[in-house]
Amino acid sequence: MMVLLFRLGEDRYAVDVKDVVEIVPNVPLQQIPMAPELVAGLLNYRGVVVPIIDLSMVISGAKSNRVLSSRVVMIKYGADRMLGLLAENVTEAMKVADDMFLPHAISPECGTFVDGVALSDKGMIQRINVKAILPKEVKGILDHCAEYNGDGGAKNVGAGGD
Amino acid sequence: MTDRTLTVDDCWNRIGVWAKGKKTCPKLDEFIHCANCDVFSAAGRQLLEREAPRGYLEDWREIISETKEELVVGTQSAILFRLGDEWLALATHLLDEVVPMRTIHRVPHRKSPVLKGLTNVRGELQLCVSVGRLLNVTRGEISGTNVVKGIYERMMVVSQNGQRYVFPVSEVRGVHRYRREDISDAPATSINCSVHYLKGIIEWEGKHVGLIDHDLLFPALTRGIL
Repeated sequence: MMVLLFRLGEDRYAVDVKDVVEIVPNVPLQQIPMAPELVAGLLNYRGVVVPIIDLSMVISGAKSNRVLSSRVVMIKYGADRMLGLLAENVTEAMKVADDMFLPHAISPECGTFVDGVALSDKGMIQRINVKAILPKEVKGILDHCAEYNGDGGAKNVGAGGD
Repeated sequence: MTDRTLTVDDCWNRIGVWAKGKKTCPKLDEFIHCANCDVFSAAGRQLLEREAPRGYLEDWREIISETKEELVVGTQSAILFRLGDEWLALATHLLDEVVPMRTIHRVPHRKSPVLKGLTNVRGELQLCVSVGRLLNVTRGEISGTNVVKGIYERMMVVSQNGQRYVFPVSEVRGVHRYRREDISDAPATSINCSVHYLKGIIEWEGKHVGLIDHDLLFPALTRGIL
C-alpha cells in the first residue's frame, strides 16, 4: 500500500492514498461563525463546498502553521462526500507493506482515530483512519448539514463558496 | 507577512555532483547522485517551510474552485491501419511492433492464400500472413508508399498467447481510443471486407474503421497457414 505522510511536531502520521482525491495548497478558507475550532473553514472545491478539518487542532489542539508545506488533503468521506484535512508537512508519500501497520494498543472505541502503527527507519508512523477522524459532535453537525442540503453530500451550498 | 530566512547548506555544490573541483562527498559512494540523497531532498523540503508568496494562495483558490474536466473513463485503445482502401483497427495490446517493409521469403510447397511466407524480424524468422486475404480486402486504389503524403507501407508484428504473426499493411496511422458505446454493428454493405471477423465499426475522422475481433482473427490465421 502507499501512504501519504505528514508530520505534527516530531510525530509522523499516514493516510492511505486510496482515500485521497487531491492535495491542494492551504488556500484562504471561508470562515464559519460559531463553528467548532476543529473546522478550519469551508472550501469551494471544484464547485462543491467542502468542510476543512484542521488536523493539528484535532491531534494537538493547536492551529496549523501557515507555511507552504501545510496542505489540504481532499479525501473521500462516505459514499459521495468529501472532506478536507488541513495537515502540516505534507511532503512525502511512501510505499509500505500492508502488514507493516500493526493494531494500535488502544482500541478505536477509546475515541482514537489511529488504526495502526508502523515502524520505519525514521521512527514510528501512525496510520489515520479517515472514517473515524471526526469527533462525534463535529460529525453530527456535518451530517446535519448534509441532510439539510438534501442531496446526501456537502454539495451546492452556493457554488461560489467564498 | 514575515520573511523567514532559510539557511541551506548546499553541499551538493561544494562536495557533491555539482562541485567544481573534486567530488569528495562520502555519501556519493552509496547514492551515486545527489538527487538520490536524503540530505538533498530534505533541503528541498525545507524550501516549503516558509510562507506562500503574495498572490500564490489566491491564485490557487481560483484554480481549485473551477470544475475539473471530466476524464473519459472506460475507453479502449486500438491501433489504426489501412489495408488497401479499408481502414481497420486492432486492440493495441496485441501489437508488438511496427517495422518497415522487408522481404518475404516464400515457404516451398505451401500454397495457402493466407500464409505469405517467412520474414526476418530482429533476427528471428516470423510467419508472415495476409490479413487482407483473410478479410477479403481488395488492394484498392491507394497503394504503395507515398512519401509526400506521408504514406508508408509497413509491417505489423502482433501476438497473442505465444502465437506471433507479421502482416504487411498499406499504412499505420497510430493509436486511437474509443468507448465501448462507440462501436456500432458492421453492416455488410458499408465496408469492403468480410464482416465476419469484425466486432463492429468505429468512427475516426469521419471514416468507418472496422474493429477486428482478435478472438476470431488469431484462430483463423492459425487455420489459414496450415
